[in-house]
Formats: sequence, C-alpha cells, structure tokens
Amino acid sequence: MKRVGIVGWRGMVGSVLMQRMREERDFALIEPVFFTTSNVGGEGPAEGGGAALKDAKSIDDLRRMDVIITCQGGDYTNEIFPQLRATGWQGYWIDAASSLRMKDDAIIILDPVNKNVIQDGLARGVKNYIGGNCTVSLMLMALGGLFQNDMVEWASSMTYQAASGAGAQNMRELIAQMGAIHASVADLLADPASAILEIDRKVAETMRSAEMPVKNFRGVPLAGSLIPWIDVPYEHGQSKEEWKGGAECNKILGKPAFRSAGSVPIDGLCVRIGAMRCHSQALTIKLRQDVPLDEIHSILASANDWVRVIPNERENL
Amino acid sequence: MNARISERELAPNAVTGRLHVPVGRLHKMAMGGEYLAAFTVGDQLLWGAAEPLRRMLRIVLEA
Repeated sequence: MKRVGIVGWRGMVGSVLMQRMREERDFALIEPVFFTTSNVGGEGPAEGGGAALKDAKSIDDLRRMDVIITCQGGDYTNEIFPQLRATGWQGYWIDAASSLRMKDDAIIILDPVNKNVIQDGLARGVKNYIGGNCTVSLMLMALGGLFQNDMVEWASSMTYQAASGAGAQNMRELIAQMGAIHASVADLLADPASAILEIDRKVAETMRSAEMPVKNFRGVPLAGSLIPWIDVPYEHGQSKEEWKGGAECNKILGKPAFRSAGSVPIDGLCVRIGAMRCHSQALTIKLRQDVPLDEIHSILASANDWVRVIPNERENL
Repeated sequence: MNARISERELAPNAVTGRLHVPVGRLHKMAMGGEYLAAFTVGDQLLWGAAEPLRRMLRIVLEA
C-alpha cells in the first residue's frame, strides 16, 4: 500500500479534499500520513489512526512518502519542494498551488479533459502533477468537448468569480459586508412607505464609509459592487489570472505555448463578484466551422460525466 | 414545469457544493454561425481545486 503524505489538510481546499476522499473511500486504498506546519506531534485525524502529526518541513519525514499531496500553498511549495527533490526523492508530488504549474517537468491535472497528457507523463517518468487554475479547469470541464475535438479557433472568457478564490477570510468578509449593508437600512426596509432612493443613498453611504469591512479586499467592497481585477498585473494589460486562462489551458490540452504558433488564443477579463464558492464565465467562442447547434449540444454533453447542457430557455412562471 | 432551465440551473446557487458543471445560454451570435455564446458555472473548491488532486492520486495508485 502506498504511503501518502498529506499537507495542508486543515485549510479550506484541504478540508474539501479530505471530505471528498472520505466520500469516495480513498483512504482505504492508501496509508495516509498527516503533516502539519503548526501542530507537530498533535493528534492526527482518524484516517491516519490518530497518529501524531509529522513536521511538514522535515525533509527526512517527507522523503519516506511514495506520494505527497499538498494544499498548503505556494510559499510552502517554493520552500520545500526543491529541498525534497535535491535529496533524490522520486515520489509523486501532487499540488494545488500554482508554483510549479508552468514548469516543463510538471503536468497540469484535469483527467476528464487531459487523461492522455497525464498518461503520457506517467509513461515518461514525470513526477510532478499540479492542479490547474480554478477558472481554467471549470471552463474545460464545461467546454472540453469543443477543445478536445479541436473545434475552437479562439475563445474569450469573461468571468464572474467567487470570493472563495481569494481565500477563507474573503468569504467571511463578503458576508460581513452584506450584513453591514442590511443593518444600515433595516429600519427603512421594514417600513413599506419608505422612499427607495433614501434606502439607496444610505446603502451607498455605508459602502463608502470607513465602517465597511473591506481589509481583505484591498479596501473596496464586494457586496453590492464588484472588483474588476484579480491577482497581480502581468503582461499585455492582462492580470495574472487572465494570463493563466491562455497559458494553462493550452498546456492542459498539450498544445504549443500560449501566444505561440499553433496555440489557441484565450483571453478575457476576470471579475470578482459576490458569490461564495462558484465561479461563472460568459464565453464567446470562435469555432473553426459553422457547426449546427444540436451537434454542439451533443459534443458538449458527451465529453465527460459531469457536464450538463442546460436548454437556452427561461421558465414561464 | 421544466426544472432544467437557465435561471434555476445555471447559477452559483444551484451548483455550490456539487460536482456537476452546467453549461448553457448556448446560441449562435449575431456575428455569424461560427460564433458561439456560452455560460457556465462550477464549484471552485471541487473541480476548481480538490477534485483533480484526489483523482490524480487514484491514477497514480492504478499506474
């Protein structure tokens, strides 16, 4: 049975990973070893038999693993991964962080879309398998059929991204903002005779006031508004989040590098909105040919087990 | 009543905590028959983060 080290399992992504591994009974197939950066020697989860937590910075302990899965974040990867590989460790490194994604010796994993790329990597002895940017992965889960059949000449994705992508503290702050806005006009809302423009004026005043909780969103409210910039500035006027769309998508699909000959141009604007954990995207797709819509429906629907094609209709109430 | 309809199915409220990925609003755009509009929603913590990792573990175990 393979010994699998798990790092960062208490954070938000790590907690979702643990939940999914329990649901799918993954722990029955492995010997899990739980690591920590903050509670060395503490009691580990039941899946590890309650064994004491190991030090996530102990290269000696890490190198005893056959596989390491980390949701600890990019700083941890940047610090630990090079040291671990420097010892000659040949295990599999499976990572949620973006640090290693675009490295030549790493594959971006999204097996319903690029199982062939992953299998080819395993056969070539690639040992680093990195989760993709969330928006990129979700776009490919939805539209994989078109990309896998090479039907896309270019695509533009305009996103509506949730607070969770910015972190757990941002999800909390979004709710706190909603509460602050409501509290500022609760008495007026309760009065059916109150004037809507008075409510609106007080809401705007609250959102612009020093009392609005905004420190996790770089000083601006998300609730009742939006934030049209995600991550740091990159090149060509793109944010890094927008660059990832083109760069990672082409790498996942095994295409030439973004902005090079033979790659699929993918570009757009990434916008944060007040959803909790679901990213949405509006896409404009330039097809190579005028393919009938019913054919597109069936290609999309049959691409994987999770995509669902929704009729372009609105309910009659 | 058709339950699979855009306002209900194609929104964060319908998808949070779930693994399915709806895609809709599909139509050919005014620019011509080669231009397709689409709208999609997915849980950022599942397929956007955790799910590909645990599936990769399974692939490694099978290799």
